[in-house]
Amino acid sequence: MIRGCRLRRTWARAGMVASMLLSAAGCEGLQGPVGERREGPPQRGGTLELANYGDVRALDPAVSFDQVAIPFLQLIFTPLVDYDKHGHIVPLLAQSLEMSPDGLHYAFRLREGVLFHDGQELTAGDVKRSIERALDHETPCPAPSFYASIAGYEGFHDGIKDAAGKLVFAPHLEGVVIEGRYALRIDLSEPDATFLPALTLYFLAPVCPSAGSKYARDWNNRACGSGPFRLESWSASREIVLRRHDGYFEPGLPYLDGIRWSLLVPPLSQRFKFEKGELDHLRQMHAHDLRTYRSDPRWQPFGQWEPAKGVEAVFLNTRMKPFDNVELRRAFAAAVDWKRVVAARPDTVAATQVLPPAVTGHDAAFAGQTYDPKRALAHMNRAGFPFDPATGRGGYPDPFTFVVPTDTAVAEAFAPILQQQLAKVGLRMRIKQVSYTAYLAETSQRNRAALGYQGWTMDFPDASDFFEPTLSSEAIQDEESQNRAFFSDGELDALLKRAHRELDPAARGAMYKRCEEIVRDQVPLSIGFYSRWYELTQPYVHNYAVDGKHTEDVRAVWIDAVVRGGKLTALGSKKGDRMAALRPWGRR
Amino acid sequence: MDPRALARFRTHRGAIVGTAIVGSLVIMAALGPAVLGLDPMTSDFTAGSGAEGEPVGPSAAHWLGTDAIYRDQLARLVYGARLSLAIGVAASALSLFIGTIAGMAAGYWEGRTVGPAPLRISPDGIIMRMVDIGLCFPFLILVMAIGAALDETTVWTVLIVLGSTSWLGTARIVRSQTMRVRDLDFVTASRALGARTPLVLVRHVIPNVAGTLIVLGTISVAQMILAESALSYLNLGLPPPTPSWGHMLLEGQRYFAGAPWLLAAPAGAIVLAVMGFNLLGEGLREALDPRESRT
Repeated sequence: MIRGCRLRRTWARAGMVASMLLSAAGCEGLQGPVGERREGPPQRGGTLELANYGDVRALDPAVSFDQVAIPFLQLIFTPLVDYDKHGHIVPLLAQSLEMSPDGLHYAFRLREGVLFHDGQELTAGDVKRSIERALDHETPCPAPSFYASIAGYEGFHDGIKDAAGKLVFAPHLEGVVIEGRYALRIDLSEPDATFLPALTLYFLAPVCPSAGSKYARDWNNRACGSGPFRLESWSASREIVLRRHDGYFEPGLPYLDGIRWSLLVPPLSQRFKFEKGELDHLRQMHAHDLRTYRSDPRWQPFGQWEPAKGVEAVFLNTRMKPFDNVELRRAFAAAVDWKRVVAARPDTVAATQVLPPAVTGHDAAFAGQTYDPKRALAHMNRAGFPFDPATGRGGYPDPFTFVVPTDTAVAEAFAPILQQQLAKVGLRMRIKQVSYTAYLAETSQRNRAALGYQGWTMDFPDASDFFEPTLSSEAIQDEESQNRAFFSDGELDALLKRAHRELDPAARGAMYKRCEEIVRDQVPLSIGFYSRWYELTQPYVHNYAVDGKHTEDVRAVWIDAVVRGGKLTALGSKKGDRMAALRPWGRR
Repeated sequence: MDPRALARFRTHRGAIVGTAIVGSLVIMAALGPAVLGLDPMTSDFTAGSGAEGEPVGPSAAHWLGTDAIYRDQLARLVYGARLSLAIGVAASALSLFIGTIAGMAAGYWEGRTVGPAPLRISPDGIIMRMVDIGLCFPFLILVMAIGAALDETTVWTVLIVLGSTSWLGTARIVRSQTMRVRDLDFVTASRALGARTPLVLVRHVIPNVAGTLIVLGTISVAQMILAESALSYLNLGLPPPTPSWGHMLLEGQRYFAGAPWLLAAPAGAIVLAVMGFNLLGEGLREALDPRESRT
């Protein structure tokens, strides 16, 4: 009797465990969207619920420059110019912008009556103060060199040695000239085609007078600008709450009352919160979840791809064996079928060139590196390492190591396929997974890694931002080299310098096309793929648009309160969907 | 084996189940790759996949489906069995070897000192303090730390790391057994008749601790399989594309909602292997030392 009871208990426990496993395995299926989309005029009000797996380290535009912080900077601060949806630079905080014919002077006329979040009016003096605050030599700005062409930059930021050998810094940046309460001129020491693109970043965006003229670390928590939302609260590593800035200069905007952004929420939690209607937008998801949403017709109308903003590749160290041999590099490039490598990942697109589609200069018709095993074998032959695929004899005699950060799609999914493809032409690759820190240290040192993963996400959508930091001779350093292939090509360097100064878009385009050809032929990189984000919003979220410049841009978003509040139920929806749609929103 | 012990083993249900599981695993590991004829490291792009590139489910060509990059899951499981068993057995052997030497040395010279007068040392004291220090660190944390510190991980490094960090418990048990045997009358008689220490250890001590060692070794294989799986699961084991159960578990976890077979297959294999070796060890303990088992 007792034995029987025990046995029943054992089976009951086993059943419980099995049911838990089944439910964990997602056997319940995907929930549908909350409600149904209705078209209509924009509505004001509501709090948008968002989440991110990352954490925000700083909200001071002078020093903050990471993927997690940028969407916040976009909401709190306003740069002088911005990209429109077609990729053109247009005035934003400025009302108008004029460039002199020689490209050395930019005159900005600011909008009048623009208010900071603290209620003070924004003037040309605030713009100059913010620029000097960001470019001050004591400010830990991560990319001051973007603005090195401003007249007087060297004396102001780098300092000039006096007779006694002491560094002396100019008190002001002479190239930034106030010409009136709302008028400002910026003079450059040489023409710089990247100046306006760099000005769309948030480093130089005007900050409230409370920020002062010198960078102070503790101002972070009081970040104050002139953007459509103001910082209401920031609970470190938990959430950031933004509230509507009623004095925002664009008429009617923003529609939302506020935005609550939860931090450090893992992708799987985000998915389940999104399905339950606790999040209004989903961007960070596992590849499998992405497939699940994309294959569900209920969710298809609410998903969109954000254009790829970066390129991912394999660098071949041109100074190290075996890839100091250009023919071996060419064999490598021709042996890899990137379309096949990335076939298992819907969030990637095989690349043909350095510039991703979102960047001006990307040419869909460009004949880049192509998969051609026969040509790869011919290159192996020319390199002096003939390989016979039938017998497996020959090829490069020693295996080489591919350094890749651990726990990434490249390590788990792509590297093993690369290995299989390279073996077919006599190139034997070992995979070495290391932590991200070790990966950075190892691949950026001279003569350390012959082969490794390289990813580059744009700072601004300009071709210079892809070539100069990763492939120019100037980017080579013994330590922390961004040019991981240690590639140095005289023609490429000269082209990049000329293109940096060239103001004619057509002439610049031709120069960058030639740069693409050099990379294709010299193969410092086997250009792999473009990563892109799939973004989902609930049906009641309107105006969420993706483009090639902005990330998670919710400045113009509005919420259909009726649908979100559960008064409108999707017709013909399943029980689970109705339950989700009817859930009261009071807990917000 | 003693016929009485063999009889006890045969009548022990757990031992029979354990033997069957371990035997099946050994056969699968030895013959599986040849029988299947599939390369566990080659993607089968012809297997077909959905528009979104999802893993392929079980089919006639791939009985357990394919993983995320279209490699045969069964072939990887079978190859993983070979690897897990090889590492488990070899690491256990190494651990047993070091533990036995250390334990016998400590136990045999317990209470004695060796060396010239001013520098006399107690081998037992030194060995046991080393063991005490080693046991302060949780085994897996220690293994993970060493695994992370290694520049490159190979089968040999995994095996040596596991073997060289897991002998501490064995040394303690062997020491106490040696101390017991050392003072038995026939050992004292043997020493009185002039037998030297190596002879005493080989002829009298080892045969008397052999039963314990067999049981320890069998159970240790289960622990080593588990430890190797944990290392691979944490990405500290063998690098891809080498199939190991722990790494397959990690890969499967990412697809658990839509492709549960990717998770279930390695998880089931690990559970079965660990259970099989534990049951076998338990049965051997019962058979070789019934009195101790009962107590």
